[in-house]
Amino acid sequence: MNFQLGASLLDACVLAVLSNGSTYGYSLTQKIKEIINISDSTLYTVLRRLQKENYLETYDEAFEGRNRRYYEITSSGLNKLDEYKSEWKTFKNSIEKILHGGFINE
Amino acid sequence: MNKFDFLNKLNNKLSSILPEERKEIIDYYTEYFIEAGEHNEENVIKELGNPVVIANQYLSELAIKESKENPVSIRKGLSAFWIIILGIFALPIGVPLVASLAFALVISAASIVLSLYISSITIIIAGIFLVFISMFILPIGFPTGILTMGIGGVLVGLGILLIVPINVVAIKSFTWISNIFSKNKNGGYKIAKKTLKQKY
Repeated sequence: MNFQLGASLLDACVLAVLSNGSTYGYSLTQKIKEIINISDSTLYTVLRRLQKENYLETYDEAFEGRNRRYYEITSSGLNKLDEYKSEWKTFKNSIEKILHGGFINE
Repeated sequence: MNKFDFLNKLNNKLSSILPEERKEIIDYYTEYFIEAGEHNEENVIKELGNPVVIANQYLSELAIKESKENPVSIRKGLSAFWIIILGIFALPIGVPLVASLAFALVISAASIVLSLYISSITIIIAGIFLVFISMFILPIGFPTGILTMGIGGVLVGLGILLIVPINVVAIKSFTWISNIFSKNKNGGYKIAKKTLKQKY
C-alpha cells in the first residue's frame, strides 16, 4: 500500500481490534498485519503508549506452563476509539472529496 | 542470529533505561518468539528487523514522552512556535499596515516641509517684487521708495534665512520616520532571536 499509517491511526486500529476482545501480543500483531503492512516491532511501542495513557490494561494468563500477556481495552480506551472513529469519518470524507473532485456530498 | 542473539542485542542496546522497563520489552519479544513457534524463529527475526533499530525506536519514543512531561520547556517551545506562526499569519496584515503607516508619515512630512519651502520662497519673491516696485516709486517719492526697497530687501533676507531651519526640519523629520521603521524591524528581530535562544 502506498499510504503511510500515522501513530494515531495505528492506535485506532489496535484499539478497534482489542474492542472485539482481549488478545496477546503475537495474535494482535498478526491480526493487524492482516489489514495493514506494518513491521512486527512497531506494535510494542503502540501497545506501550496506549497502556501509559490508560487506554488498555494487561493481565497474565497461564498457558502451556507459562504466562501469556493479554491486552484489554479500558472504558477510556473505548471512548478514545469512538473519538477516533468519528474523526476518521470526517477525515475520510474530506479525502474522498478531494480525490473524487468534490462530487461527493454535493 | 538466533532469538537469543536478538534478545541479547536488544537488552544491551537498552541498558540506559530502567531495568523494569527493559524487562517488559524483553518479556514481550520473548513471548513473541514463543508464540510464533520455533519453526518460525528465522522468519520472526527477519520480520522484526534489526534489534538496534527497535531499541532506538523505543528510546526515541521515550525521549518524546520525557519532553512532554517537562511542561516548562514545552511551553517555551510552544511560545516560540506560536510567535513564528502568528508572525506568518500577521504578514499579510502587518506588512501593508506598516507600509501604509510609513507612507502616510512620509507624505505628511513631505507636504509640511514642502509648504514651509513654498512660504519662504513666496516671501523671497514678494521681497524681490517690492524691490522691483520701489524702482518706480523712487522718482515719485524718494523716502517711500527707499522704505519699499528696504522692506523688500528685508523680506528677501528673511526668506533666505528661513530656508536654513526648514532644511533642518526636513532632515530631522525624515530621519525620524526612517528611524521608527528600522527600529521596529530591529526590535522585532531581537525579540525573535531572544525567544529562540530561550528555547534552545
